[in-house]
Amino acid sequence: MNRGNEIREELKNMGSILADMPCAMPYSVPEGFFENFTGSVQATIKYLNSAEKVPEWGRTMPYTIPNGYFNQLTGKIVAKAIADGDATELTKNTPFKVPAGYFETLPAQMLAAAKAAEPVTKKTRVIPLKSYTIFREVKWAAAAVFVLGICFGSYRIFNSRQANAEKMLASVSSNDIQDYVQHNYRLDADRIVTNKDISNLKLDNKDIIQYLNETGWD
Amino acid sequence: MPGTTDQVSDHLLVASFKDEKLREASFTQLVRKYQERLYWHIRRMVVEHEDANDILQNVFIKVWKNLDDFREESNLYTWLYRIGTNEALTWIDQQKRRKSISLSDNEDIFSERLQAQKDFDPNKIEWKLQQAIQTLPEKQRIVFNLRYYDEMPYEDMSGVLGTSVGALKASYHHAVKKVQAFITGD
Repeated sequence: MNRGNEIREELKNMGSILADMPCAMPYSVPEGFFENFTGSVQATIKYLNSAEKVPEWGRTMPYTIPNGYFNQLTGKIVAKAIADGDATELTKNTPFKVPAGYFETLPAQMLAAAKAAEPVTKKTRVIPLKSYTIFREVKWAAAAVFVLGICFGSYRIFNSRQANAEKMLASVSSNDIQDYVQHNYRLDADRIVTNKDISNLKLDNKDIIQYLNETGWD
Repeated sequence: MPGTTDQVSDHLLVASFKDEKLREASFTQLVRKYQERLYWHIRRMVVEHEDANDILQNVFIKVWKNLDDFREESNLYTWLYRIGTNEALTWIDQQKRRKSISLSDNEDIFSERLQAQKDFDPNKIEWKLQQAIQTLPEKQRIVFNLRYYDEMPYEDMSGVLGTSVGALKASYHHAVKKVQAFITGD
């Protein structure tokens, strides 16, 4: 498969209409451009090469000039210019005007601008090693207190339930307890007795009561 | 794109360029071989013929100066395309800086140049395609042109642009979708 088909296939796989579109460039090119281009590049390269290879003949000028020529030149030009009326007396002063009091107020303005431009420097917080160590110790102590607190609290909660239960029981009279047991015993015993397997054992009610007392009424 | 025979002839061109006596002749052959491909690659980026001509001249002057140092670690034509792409991008950057134009303005500038081209006709599909391509981001435009017009393999394109093959495939895929959307008016 030649390269052109590969591109077309790729576009077809993308489901693109570009697969069937013409590939020609619409731009026009000046006639004979490509025929002449190689020659123009070569000419450019030749020019660049010749410019790079400047022969070293030295740069000293052979001409002589009068003594002090350049020292006197400026004065002569100024004098001539004044004589010809082409220029007023030339001075070294620049013609620009400065607002009144500019230089007096400039230092204060510059100081204010410099301060305004100063970056805000934060004071670096220095944490002394000692206080960091103390903080670490306090942290562990606080954790220990917290754990102890949970343990103590749990102990109080679980024990108090039992204590509460015992207290409540202690407040009930023995007669009431007996009545309760007998009433419930009878019901439990009746239930047990109606069970066929158990009734075949031919157990006495007293045996059953004893059993329940030993193992629990649940 | 060059096959094995072309690679052999490129190798001979490079080798003969390094010979002083054969330098000019081999360079002439090299320019004749690659001038059109590089010209169109550059012109698709800068639109104007005069600018493409200037950039192409710069490209071959660089080739003349640096072909001696070319180590043939990549194909010659990949190397040439890399120089051409970089020269065109440098020129575009210079134009942006000169005119202080932003990226979005850049797209408008080239669209204007396109519309100023001889025989421009927005109703013709080939002009509409060029308009669509000009809407693509710079690098995506290059990827699209190299694949669609130059039919460059992704592996070679990776050497030209310094981007992974996967990224180039994704970029081309997105470019095709965008171009199609522009053409169909979606």
